[in-house]
Amino acid sequence: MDELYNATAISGTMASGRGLWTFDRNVVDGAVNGTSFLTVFSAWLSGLADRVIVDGAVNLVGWSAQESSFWFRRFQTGLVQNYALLMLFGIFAFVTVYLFVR
Amino acid sequence: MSYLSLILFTPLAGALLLLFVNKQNENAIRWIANVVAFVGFVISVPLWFWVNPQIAEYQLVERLPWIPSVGADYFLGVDGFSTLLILLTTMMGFIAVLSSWTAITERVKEYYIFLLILQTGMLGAFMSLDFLLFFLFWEVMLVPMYFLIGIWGSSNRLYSAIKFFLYTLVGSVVMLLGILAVYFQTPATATSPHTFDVTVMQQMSLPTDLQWWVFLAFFLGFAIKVPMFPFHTWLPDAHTDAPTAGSVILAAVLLKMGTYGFIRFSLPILPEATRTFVPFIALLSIIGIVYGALVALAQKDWKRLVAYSSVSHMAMVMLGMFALNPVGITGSIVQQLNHGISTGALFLLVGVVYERRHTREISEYGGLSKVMPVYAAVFLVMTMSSIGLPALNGFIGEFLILQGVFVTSKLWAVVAASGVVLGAAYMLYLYQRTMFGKIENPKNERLMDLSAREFATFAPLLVLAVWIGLYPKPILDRLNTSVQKVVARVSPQYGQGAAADASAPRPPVSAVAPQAVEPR
Repeated sequence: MDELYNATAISGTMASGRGLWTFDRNVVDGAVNGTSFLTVFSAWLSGLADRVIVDGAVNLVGWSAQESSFWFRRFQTGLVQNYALLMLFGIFAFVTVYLFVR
Repeated sequence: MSYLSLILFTPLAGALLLLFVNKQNENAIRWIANVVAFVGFVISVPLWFWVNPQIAEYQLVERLPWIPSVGADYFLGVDGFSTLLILLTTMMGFIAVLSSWTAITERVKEYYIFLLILQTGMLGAFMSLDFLLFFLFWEVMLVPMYFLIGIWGSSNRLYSAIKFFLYTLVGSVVMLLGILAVYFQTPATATSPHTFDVTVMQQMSLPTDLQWWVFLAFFLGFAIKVPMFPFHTWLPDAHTDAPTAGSVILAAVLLKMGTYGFIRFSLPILPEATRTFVPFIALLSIIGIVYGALVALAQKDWKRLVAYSSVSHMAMVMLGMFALNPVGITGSIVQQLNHGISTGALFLLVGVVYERRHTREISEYGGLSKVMPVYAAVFLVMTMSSIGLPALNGFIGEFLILQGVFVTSKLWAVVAASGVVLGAAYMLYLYQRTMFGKIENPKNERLMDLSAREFATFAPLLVLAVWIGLYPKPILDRLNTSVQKVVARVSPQYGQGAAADASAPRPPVSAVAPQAVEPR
């Protein structure tokens, strides 16, 4: 009789205990750890977006400032004659615009 | 200063005092912490005598304006139910501090400071009648516990600490949404358009669909804390990896926060939603009872076994509560206290052998009753208490719960009763593997039995286990009005009479049984 009990009820209960323990560790806890993995992953994605997109935009501003400066630097010749000529062109332009607008 | 505030802030004052003690002076730190915890317990004892069980309203009330513009007050008050939980907290707090004397050798000062701050947090949560204040204390409990597990815990402590913290925090934050939802329905006060006053909220009639959502929000916060299946997986890790005192406080008090939340907030404030959700909660509870017990049976780690037994017992508590009748709710509350006593003792017992052998593997032990007879005797009493043997406290709680559940659904009672059988299975199996048989492992041959200090941590628990088991009337009397108040909100069909009968002085078997079966 004991062997019957052992083979059925006892083994059944112990086995279901072990089975549910595995379920608890892998499935239920798996869901908990899964959400933690998802959170860490989305944090990594946010970090990536921050470095590539946001910082990229910031660096783009700096880069375009640097590139465009090349062309504007060429105006600095150091010769006063060039500056005087430019001033003449400027006055001419202003007077023209003024006369037209009037 | 008023009495409840005195009880509340004594541990915090002790923690502040400890800040000024030199951290090298470990002996002074231990003595101060123990004295503060003991004083904290002693000054709370008058609560037992001063709280009048006949009065339904909250007593020893203190109310000071806190944030008038939003209607939050420093509002403390107790009734029978919270009185018992406060006494449990101060007692277990002292026992936890006492049990750490030799167990904690590093960063002793921080350890005791965290324990004392945790104590204040727990007391505040049980005393608060203002929802914002309650939420504050609820959150305050999380941080010291996180550190206690993360610094002084065992091998997997960092994972367990963070898991505990974030999991319960998620629940708390969702609960806050629920609190706010109810808050915006409250009437205006003199200073603010709404109020966080819980006593006001407990009288309100909220629209049913709002109740449904708020119940779910509260449910998440409290169910994670209880813990209910399937939100329980933080508990085995936190309990196993926490230091002994941490596990004791977690099991004895922190788990009761969840059930306290249900009884104090969910049931009275959201009665229609409570009734709607009974099948859902009952299902989860029944699964929890059987599932927790079966998984406990499969454990090889002593502490993890006790942790899963907690899952099973607390699920039984929840089932009794959601039977929504006076007997069931009374049984639920009694079982909460019993669980605090017996599971607190079980974790202390594990802590004793862990301090000696530094292993929690059950297979490492065996035949310990030969070398540690006093320990074996204490362990036996607490095992029987956990199983629910008559003459010990567990029987009273389990019996009342099963009686209450039987009225609501015979099927649930049958399944819950099978959980009692499984409970006996895993506890007796544990006891046999660790205490009986021959001493196979030579390391066990010279283990010291309980020291006087260690026995002192068990003594009050042993006394309570026997006292509540043989003469539960004082406890049941003090619960009467609290249970009546809750039942009046959720199950108005039970009149004044039925609740009083649940605490009838005669043996619960004969007197209560006939009354409870005729609900009126």
